[in-house]
Amino acid sequence: MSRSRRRAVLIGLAIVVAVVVGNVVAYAHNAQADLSATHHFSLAPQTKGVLDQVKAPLKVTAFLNKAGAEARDARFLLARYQELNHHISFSVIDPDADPTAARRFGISQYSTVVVMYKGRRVEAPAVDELDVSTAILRAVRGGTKTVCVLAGHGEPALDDQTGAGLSKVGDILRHNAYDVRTVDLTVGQPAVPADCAALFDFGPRDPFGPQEVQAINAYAKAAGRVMLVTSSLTRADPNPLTVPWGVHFLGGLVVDPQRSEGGDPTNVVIEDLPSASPVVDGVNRLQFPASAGVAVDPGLRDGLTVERLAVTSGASWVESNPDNELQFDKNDLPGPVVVATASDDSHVDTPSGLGSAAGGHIVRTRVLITASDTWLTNDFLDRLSNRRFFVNGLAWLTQEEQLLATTAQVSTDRSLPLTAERQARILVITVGLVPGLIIGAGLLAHFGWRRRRRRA
Amino acid sequence: MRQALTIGARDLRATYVSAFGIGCTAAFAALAGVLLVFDLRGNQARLDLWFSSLFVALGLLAALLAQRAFAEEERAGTLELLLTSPVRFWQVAVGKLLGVCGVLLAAIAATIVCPLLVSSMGNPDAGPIVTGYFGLLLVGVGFLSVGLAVSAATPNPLVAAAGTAAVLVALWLAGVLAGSLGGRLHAVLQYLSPTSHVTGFLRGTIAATDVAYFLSMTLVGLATVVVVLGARR
Amino acid sequence: MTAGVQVIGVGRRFGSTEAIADVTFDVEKGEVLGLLGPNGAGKTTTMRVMTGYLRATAGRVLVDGVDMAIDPVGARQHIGYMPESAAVPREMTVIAFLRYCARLRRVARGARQKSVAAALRQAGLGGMADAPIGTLSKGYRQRVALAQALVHDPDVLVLDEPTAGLDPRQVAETRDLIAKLGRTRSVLLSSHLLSEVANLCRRVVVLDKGKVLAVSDVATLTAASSTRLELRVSGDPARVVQIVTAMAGVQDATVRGDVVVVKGTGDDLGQRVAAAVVDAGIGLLEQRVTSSGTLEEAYLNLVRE
Repeated sequence: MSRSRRRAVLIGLAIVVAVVVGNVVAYAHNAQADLSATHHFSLAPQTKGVLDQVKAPLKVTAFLNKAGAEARDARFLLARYQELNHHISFSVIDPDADPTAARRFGISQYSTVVVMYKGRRVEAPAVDELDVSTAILRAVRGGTKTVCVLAGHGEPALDDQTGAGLSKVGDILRHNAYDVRTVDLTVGQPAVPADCAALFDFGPRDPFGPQEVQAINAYAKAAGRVMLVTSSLTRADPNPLTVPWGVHFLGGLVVDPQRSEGGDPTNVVIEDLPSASPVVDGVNRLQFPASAGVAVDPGLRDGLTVERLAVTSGASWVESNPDNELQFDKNDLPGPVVVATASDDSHVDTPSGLGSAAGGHIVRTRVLITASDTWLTNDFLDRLSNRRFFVNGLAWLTQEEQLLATTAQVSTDRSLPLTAERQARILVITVGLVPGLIIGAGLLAHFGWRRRRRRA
Repeated sequence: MRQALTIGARDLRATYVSAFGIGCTAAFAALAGVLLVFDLRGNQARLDLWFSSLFVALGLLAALLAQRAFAEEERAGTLELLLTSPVRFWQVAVGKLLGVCGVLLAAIAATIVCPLLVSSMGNPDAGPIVTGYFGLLLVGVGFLSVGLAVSAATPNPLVAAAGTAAVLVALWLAGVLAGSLGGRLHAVLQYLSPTSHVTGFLRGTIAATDVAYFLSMTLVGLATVVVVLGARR
Repeated sequence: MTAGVQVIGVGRRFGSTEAIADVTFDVEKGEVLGLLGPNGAGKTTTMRVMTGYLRATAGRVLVDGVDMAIDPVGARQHIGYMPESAAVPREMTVIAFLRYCARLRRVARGARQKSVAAALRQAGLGGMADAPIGTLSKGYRQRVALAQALVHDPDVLVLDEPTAGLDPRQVAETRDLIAKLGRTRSVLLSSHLLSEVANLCRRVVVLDKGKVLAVSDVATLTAASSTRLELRVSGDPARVVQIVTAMAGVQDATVRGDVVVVKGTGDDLGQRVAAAVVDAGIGLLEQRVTSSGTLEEAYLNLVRE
């Protein structure tokens, strides 16, 4: 083979290799830049985490009116899911155009999504990232978990959509495929159901009875997961519930003139998040209004660790007499003040209950305590990293890491009624004026050429 | 590269001195306008359907433009002068591509009035418009490269145009065939189809796979031109 | 003299057909070499291989020492080629086209204007610079084709039918130009006008059916070609045919009307035929030499064999 031919073959091979490698690398990394206004088609890291769990073919079928923009957006969105995990395939079916398919899937409404995975079927009510990802999560998980929410002590309701309500928290629980059960230990024989994956008490105001305390502690001790969200406004004494887990509720009202919001020193902003706990992963700052203080017991028993999750600044203090002027005095506790903790207790549970390792098994309890309850109301959940903090806490308690903290996307009105006048305007300009200008320019150039020809 | 630019500039000038270039640009602009009216029937200030239609129109435009690059020049007898000049085949390939890309750019630019009109009447999302145009350029250059490769292989302009269309249709069919297959073959065939690589541009994203695909198409097209020119000798 | 172009054992195959085979010749510096052959002989193929438009399937072409196969770009830099079609882009003006060619052929920016002006002048296109090529007559378009071959001042010129389609004055001007160019360059010229080749070229290459029949000086070739005599006799023309056919150097003798046409070689053929007729007692009324060793004769003889 001549030298030039050899060189040509080598260059050809290099091109083939470059093309294959370039495409393989691009295919593997799925990187993209999203220039859309809402970044609709850049999926949240949490969604990507959910998709990482899909290890077998997963089919998403969206039932939408094909003619509408929603169908096109659905295709765009689902295409992105497919790009990120090639096990995922999708189709968009118009129930009116293909009633057989709709009947086969048992669909009667537009905007329904059906996810099929390993023989499991999960439905979602809408084709948006939140609902589709939730459906995929539930399909992959293969079942739903139940979380129990305490009521009966003046806690706000999960369906309360007012500023002080907890409907956003309810949405998060639902969107992360939890069944939510309300448990009222004040009625009947107090016992926390054993199938509760976690127990939440969001802002109790009224005191707990001794039997309730016993029921909750028994649940916690038996590998339970508890989130106690209390505050300075509570009339209950949370210590019977917190002390077993190394945390002492101080009460009072945290005042932090250095880090607060809106000129109110009790509307505390937390910037110190000294723990490496996954609960504060991705959390930059928190807003904890009307917070009390907690303290970690110095001598913790073996197997119990308590992480100080959120700490106020050195200029803060716990005001013992908040009804008077907020001024530090000798009765007050100087900061920095701990306002959130995560207790993780591992102990060996033997039949005799004596804690001997022989014949026993390890039981793990997790308790998350915050000394403010306002931070997760509807008015405050989307401030700073509050939402992220809650979702992380939920994940830590239930030991699931891929949960979705995305907020609802605001859709912009992009309607454009195509009136006859607008149609005419478009046609006149695009079919008449613009081509006319182009042809005119061409004719001008042509006549200029002819003039030159005559001169020549 | 200078010689590639020389060839490209000459070709571009030749296209626009003739009625062909003006006609193509004007026709593409008019087609874009008609498509706009149809694609706005959803009463939304969205141009994804419009761009989707333009991608198809680009295939036709590429077939028309590329057939002049080599086939028509060979028929006119001027290709011999070019190929006996001290230029390398890759310079000829790149120069020819630059020439037709100039026309492509003008044709695409002539459609700018459409999103401007939509913006004056409604509130479209600017992102998908930017990515749509980026996609038009990238896809257009890729399709033109395919067309050049076909044009270099035949002295008949009509065969060149038809051949280009045939290659693009074959690539599209790969995607259709993929639907009925599974596994790795499905993934490969789907990847080969241009339709799976324009979705990103339509929705407002620029994906690395799509850019890699069309750049590869361009590179392979140009390399094929060089191979064909060498084989003709 | 050093060879500007060396064509060494060049062959070109199209599929199973060998268009040219074992073609060998040199074009020396300061020489105009003629390339002759009937239609389909392989002249254009040979020129296309020399200019790199076609690849040689055998042999090699060296242009100023540069092997066309190894460095086609370098080799082509030395060549100015005017193809037979002389196709030039009709939408461009003359000067725009020549500037384009100058850029394509890597004429330095500073020298381009001068080169283009020189090419215009040499090709006799002085007043036509701004004329669109499409408006020119065939003859002038031919000149434009010649000008583009000259614009980069190449050492080697390959001209395929450079005077085809030109009027007599233009033919003469072009011929003069080629002669002038040939003094300092290597020029390969193909033409059907044998008189033109005979005037311009010291040497010719004769091709037929893809093979070289002769590479020779024009003088040597014409000397070897036959003389044609026409005799008018008072006696029996058939008797004259009988006598002259037996003579050495006579190739053919035929009676055409009252004229005996004799073809043969040798400088003294006329003298010997006249003597033989007279010695035979036949009255020789008139003897005319109608063709004495022309290139056309030599050429026709070669291609007929």
